[in-house]
Amino acid sequence: MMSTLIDYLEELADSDRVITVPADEVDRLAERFGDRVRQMGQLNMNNGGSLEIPVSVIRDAATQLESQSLLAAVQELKSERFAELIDRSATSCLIEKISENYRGYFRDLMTRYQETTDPLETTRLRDQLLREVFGS
Amino acid sequence: MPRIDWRSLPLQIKQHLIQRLKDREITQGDLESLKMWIEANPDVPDGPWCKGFGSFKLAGEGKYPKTFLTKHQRCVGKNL
Repeated sequence: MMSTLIDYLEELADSDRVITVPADEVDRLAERFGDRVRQMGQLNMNNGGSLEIPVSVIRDAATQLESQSLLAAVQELKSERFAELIDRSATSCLIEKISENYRGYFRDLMTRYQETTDPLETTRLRDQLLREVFGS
Repeated sequence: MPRIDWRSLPLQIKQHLIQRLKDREITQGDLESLKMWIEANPDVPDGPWCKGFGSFKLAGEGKYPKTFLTKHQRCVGKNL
């Protein structure tokens, strides 16, 4: 029980953690919910179009949705059916929130890089920006 | 029409572009535009080409991106 709590807290504290959505899953989601799916994170064209999304971005987007909307989005994503009203579906709201938060995340990264005076942090943020812009 | 192979662009050139952001020689908005352009995976001509991003330009040839130039530097090839 204790290790679960620690694991969870470690996950929350790890701001650099990303999840990778494989290219075929990105394609499937884009077919159902449109091209904006590809704006939820860093689209890695070197890797066939996989999508890397910072966990913090997803977490922030999820907390901005009402819990009912989040549950509805999960149900829609689990079902293989096309959303009937794509623009109004809970998943579309979630995708929109994640994309918006990802844009904020990238802008914040650039600002932190410009403003830091710590050489180690400068190198770390530079390398992170390189991955965000050019892919890994 | 070829697609750009970003892995062929030397790391030092990429690092230099990011350093120019730190030095405020290029803007956040222009770097964001480059990122979006990369993610759109655009077609490029077989010969030399040039793409402007406001505060800087990218020059390439076929699928190979060659270098980043300042907005004042002359860029040969087809303008994208």
